[in-house]
Amino acid sequence: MLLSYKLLKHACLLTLFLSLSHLANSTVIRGTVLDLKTREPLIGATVFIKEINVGASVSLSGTFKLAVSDPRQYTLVCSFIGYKSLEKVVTITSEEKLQIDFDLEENSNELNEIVVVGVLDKTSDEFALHTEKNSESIVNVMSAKTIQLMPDITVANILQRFSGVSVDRNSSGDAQYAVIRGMPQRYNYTLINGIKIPSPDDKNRYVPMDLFPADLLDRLEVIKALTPSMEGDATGGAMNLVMKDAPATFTVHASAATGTNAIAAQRGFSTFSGWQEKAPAQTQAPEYLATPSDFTYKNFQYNNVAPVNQVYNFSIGDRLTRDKKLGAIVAASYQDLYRGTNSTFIKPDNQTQAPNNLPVFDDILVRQYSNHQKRLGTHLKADYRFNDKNQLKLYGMFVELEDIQHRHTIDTILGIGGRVGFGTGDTHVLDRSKVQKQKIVNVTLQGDHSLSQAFRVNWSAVYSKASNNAPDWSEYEIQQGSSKSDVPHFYDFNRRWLTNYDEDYTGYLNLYYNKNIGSNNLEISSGGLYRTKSRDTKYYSYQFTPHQDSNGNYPSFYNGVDAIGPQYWSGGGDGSLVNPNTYTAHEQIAAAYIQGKILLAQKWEIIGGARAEHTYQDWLNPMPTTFPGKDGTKAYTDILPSINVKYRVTPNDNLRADYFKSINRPSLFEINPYNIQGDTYNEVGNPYLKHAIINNIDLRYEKFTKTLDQISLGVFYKQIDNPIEQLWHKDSVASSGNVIGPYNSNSARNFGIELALTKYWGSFGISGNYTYTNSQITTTKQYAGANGIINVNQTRPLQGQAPHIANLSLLYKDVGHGLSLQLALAYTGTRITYVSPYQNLDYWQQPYFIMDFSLEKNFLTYFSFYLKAQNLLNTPYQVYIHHESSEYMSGVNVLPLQTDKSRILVQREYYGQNFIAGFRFKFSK
Amino acid sequence: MKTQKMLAVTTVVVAIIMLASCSKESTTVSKPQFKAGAAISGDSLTSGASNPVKGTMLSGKTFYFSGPVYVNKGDTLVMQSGVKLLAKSPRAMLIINGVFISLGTKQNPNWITGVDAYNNPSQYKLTSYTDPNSDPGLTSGGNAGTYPRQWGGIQCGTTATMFNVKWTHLDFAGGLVTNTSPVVTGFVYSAGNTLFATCFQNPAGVYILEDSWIYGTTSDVARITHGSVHFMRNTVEKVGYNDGDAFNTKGEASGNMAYNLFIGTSKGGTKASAKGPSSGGPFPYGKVNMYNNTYVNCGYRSLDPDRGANVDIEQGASGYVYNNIIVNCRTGIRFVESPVADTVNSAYGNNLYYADSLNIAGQFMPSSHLGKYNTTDIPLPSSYYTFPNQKYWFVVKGTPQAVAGGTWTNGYDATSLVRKNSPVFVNYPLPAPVGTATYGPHLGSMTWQGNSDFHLQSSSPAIGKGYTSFSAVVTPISSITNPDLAATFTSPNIDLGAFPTDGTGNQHN
Repeated sequence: MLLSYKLLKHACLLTLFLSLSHLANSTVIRGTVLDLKTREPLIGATVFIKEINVGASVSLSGTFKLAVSDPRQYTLVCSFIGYKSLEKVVTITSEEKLQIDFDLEENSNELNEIVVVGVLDKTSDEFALHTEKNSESIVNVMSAKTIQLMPDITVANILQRFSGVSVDRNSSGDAQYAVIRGMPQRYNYTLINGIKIPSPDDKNRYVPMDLFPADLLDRLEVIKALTPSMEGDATGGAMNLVMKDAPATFTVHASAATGTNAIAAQRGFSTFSGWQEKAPAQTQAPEYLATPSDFTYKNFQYNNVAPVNQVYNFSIGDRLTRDKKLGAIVAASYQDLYRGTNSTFIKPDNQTQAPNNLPVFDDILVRQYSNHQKRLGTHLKADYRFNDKNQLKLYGMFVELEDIQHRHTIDTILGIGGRVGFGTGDTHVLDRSKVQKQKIVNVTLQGDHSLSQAFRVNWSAVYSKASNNAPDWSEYEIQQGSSKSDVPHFYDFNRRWLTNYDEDYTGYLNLYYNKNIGSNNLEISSGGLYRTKSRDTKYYSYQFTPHQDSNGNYPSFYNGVDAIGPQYWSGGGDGSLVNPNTYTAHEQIAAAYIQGKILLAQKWEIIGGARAEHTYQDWLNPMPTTFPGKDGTKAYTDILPSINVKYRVTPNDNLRADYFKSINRPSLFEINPYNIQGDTYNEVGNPYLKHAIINNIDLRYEKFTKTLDQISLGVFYKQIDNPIEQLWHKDSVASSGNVIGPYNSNSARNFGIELALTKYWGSFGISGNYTYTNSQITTTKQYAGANGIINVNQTRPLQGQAPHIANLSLLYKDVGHGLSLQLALAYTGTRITYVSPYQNLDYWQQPYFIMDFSLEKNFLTYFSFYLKAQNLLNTPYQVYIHHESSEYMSGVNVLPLQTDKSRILVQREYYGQNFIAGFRFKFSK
Repeated sequence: MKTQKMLAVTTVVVAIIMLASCSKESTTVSKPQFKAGAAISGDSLTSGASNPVKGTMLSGKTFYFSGPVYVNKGDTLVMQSGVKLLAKSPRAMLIINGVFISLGTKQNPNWITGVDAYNNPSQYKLTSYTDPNSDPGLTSGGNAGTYPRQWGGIQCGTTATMFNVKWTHLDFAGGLVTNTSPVVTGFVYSAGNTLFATCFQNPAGVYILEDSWIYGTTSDVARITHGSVHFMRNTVEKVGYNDGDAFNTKGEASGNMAYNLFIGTSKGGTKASAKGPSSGGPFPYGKVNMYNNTYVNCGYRSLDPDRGANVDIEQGASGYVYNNIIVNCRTGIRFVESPVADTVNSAYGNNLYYADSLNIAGQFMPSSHLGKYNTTDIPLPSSYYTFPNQKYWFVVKGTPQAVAGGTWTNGYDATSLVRKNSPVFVNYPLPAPVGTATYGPHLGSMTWQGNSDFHLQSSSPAIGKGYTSFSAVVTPISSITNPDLAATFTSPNIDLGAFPTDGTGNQHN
């Protein structure tokens, strides 16, 4: 029985093989090509038969296949860039198949890498997978090659491809912030080469991920479980941007591409002639009272431009000296992008209507955004190897994102405006000009020294500064002819300047002791960091009011754009630096850890230890001395234990179990007791805000079947104590009633299941992941009933957490013809975008499904053509309030776009398709 | 009725004669004026948070201030009668975190104003039309700090428990919130805003403004975000350059606005809205009764065409609105439909409207806002408007529009209402003399009281038309029993307006 089964199986295989084979009588030579040291497949390596001039390259599945028809001796030459070529002589007799494997050795000038998080540094998919497989904790990795083939050109857009990651989008529809495993952006941090960087955001710690051009990356990692050597304030995950390293040989990459955005191209793209870089308060004496003639009005002169997108990348690297001790790479990426957005927003009032807690609406805002983004990223990486034991590494990065945005709004007033159905409202036209320039600079000097066979030490000295400059935010408003109005006229308007920075000096030191005990290995490491951070934010605001003529009439404008000028305004002011948005703050973090890593019987890898982090913060705001909380300090210490266990079931199967404790620090703005007066609620800071403490558990099974195939299944659970959210609550500081601001709820929990799958069949591949997340948090809300407002508790998911996240990529990669195609699909389930102070009135984003496509074709050895197309379906971004909507389907309060009686649409945005196409040049000696 | 009155008068006359003729001894013992803490020495109040002020400004004295004057939590600052507090700088203001009391009397009123304005009233309080950009009574904020008249108002912090101002002139209060303003935080202001003449924000606090005169503010006379309020028998002139309601309550503030005279306000006269944070106050929130007020030439300088309402009940607020006289104001009584006012706890009627133009008459019932059938308003609503029903509140349909040829479309026909039902004031010309050099170009140009007298002549149709079967909101202010501090409640009158013929109303002129 058994024998016959085996025979049958072999027969089948043989039949299959023969039918596929072109040469019925030939001998097939198959084999793998691996890196000698890392045992990873080298895709794209070539195997060439000298005698008959036949060759093949290694496919996605990591193998090559050659066929010969004559029995004789052949010489097979295997070669790959960066590796020493290898020849093997084989003699073909009558065998019908032959297995010949190559193990290539790297050119000897390749150096060992030093990355603080302690992972290898390579650029390919295989190494990405290798990193995942061999990593100490749960890491997802995407290699430069995968990124290059992605339809995405910013890091933020790539992040949405990761398992368990959903993204928050900016007004041009591009991803901006990552929600990892349902944990909002505040629970995640950003690393550059393992070094944490500050944020240019004026209020938050988290870094806008759309700052980074994707092409600079060597690799993008999302680290989902912490080890003691990592900073303890990531709960969802740490996003590690590993930048390109100096290559082993002289290498030049360059690319240029152009394209457009469908909305900007069809609708037209509007921009303005100029703006005022400095506020009068920044150039004049203190207490100078500005007048309307102190300002430019060029920011209100709009004109249309052609939305031609341009993307350029360049990098050059080599080992520079004869002895190959010095290596360096310089890379630059520049993107000049035009994006159009069409949006409708039905602006809810901050209060609801009794007796049924009915949401009320103030405005219908129909908006056209013209977003011009100029994104520049440059970096330099240099390393010098003194000898086998000592190495120095210098890294410098500069990224800048300049956003120039014109927003044109038609505002139909609903509340207190006299609207009784469609076409009857008081309408206003608003034009806003906004400029924002965000920058991050990072300079890191690292040293790595092996003191003996067992002892190693490495250190880093880091300077980072993130800054943000938003000059001349202005929006003017024209009342545009309600029937009650005498004539269209201007309204009061503001001009604002915001400038802020966040500056870090950090030192890291790590000590390693390594000992083999029989076949087991023990590594003990210890170290720490000290960081001192300074934050400074300055905000200036001027308010103008329309000028009456001598008869007490206001000037009238139908299309006031051309006419707007200083003569029509009075007011101004001194800019008032004394305001709740202006503050300075400092933070010192001292951290130390001890970590043990044991390799037992080649099966068990256990990393455990603890980290202590001490936080000291102070703030100062420019309020008068009578203000409670003009200055203050906070200090706390956390002990964060963690343990990561990996069990290698087989060399290709891992079972992992992790526990770690993490924290989430309030931002320095949140603890500063600012108080921004609002119409309904004041927004206040909370110096009594506690940092959140999170206990995390992970289980994961990974199977790496073939060279590139992978399946993994994981579950996670997080218990969050003192979770921080922007919430409606009773003010504890000024006892001024109810306010909105950062607030600790009692606790929250979050669990989920992650599934990832990658499978290749020759040139075809499929890569996908699915994450289910379920979080719960209970907070106090209001309900406006017949007898006034009552407080009720409501349980809901964390803001930004989607229950279902799925990604699917369909790949075609023909190595022989140098053609790659990818169709990428991303699905994000419904999630809360805003937590309402009222029961059941949270804003829910509709499930979002986005389809992108990319293509790359190599030609003439060094060149390739590529195409990236994003948002092919022009997916609308839609937000609903889940409240019965009959009040707004018809009658006096009728609202546009309403189709569903069970919910109220409050926002719908279209971003249009984006296309770029261009050429890439790659040369490597 | 008449015989009773005559009998009473006769009795009094006889009694006086008897008293005068008898040789009985009569004694009057003067009552000491209200005093808290020590008398304030010198003639100036110290500025700055580090030099807080408390105690009493003794009767008849003049004091100066030139910066922010602080009254700390738990402390009290008192002005006895006849005290003048004069600002030497636009930076002068009162920051009240405790209690502020100004007890002027009819004979000896108090003053808080700029020193130049006090000394040269004719230069500052104009009584003929002038360019609004150079009228000292109207300022858009901005660089008004260069004028020597202005001061920064009375700004009450969250811990202020009482604001109690009687028989006091508050002139030229306002200005701009700047870097050096002490109200940039903890108050209802943000950078670049204009200052309200007074603000109050303690839910447990009491705000009393009685028998006082307010002239030439930059913005609102009173911005109340919380607290119990009592606005009675005041005179309000020239409020706001292009923004500012006279009495503006938000949140859960509740109380009365009665027997006030408003002339030439920028936006509304009396306004209540429950917009704002709830602090768990009594329900219904924002219940403000507005009755027996007289509104003249109000609501024209507002940039928002819909904001000229002189009686304005907004989002979630409620009130009884009766016995008011509204003359040549931009719109009539407005109950807002969205976000909707608390109509369940609101009612109105017995109000008299007068218009010199069709535009204004077309807004006696402001279109698109809420109305309710009644048979007591003058003119009688059913005489010019077809009500959809007589039971429920409804949205006033249609938008009256003057079109070519002078006919009307879409709205009710107000042609017959123009220049009808003049309240026949003692001294105020109706129809208004629009277009004269003194009066100014518009109905809204005349913003000052001058020699006008808004008492009613005996021929007035406003006499005897009032509704008196409701009462003022008296709790919790009525619990103040100290006779110096207690509020004097005047009940709804049988006559309309702030100056009923029985003399119980507004006591000015």
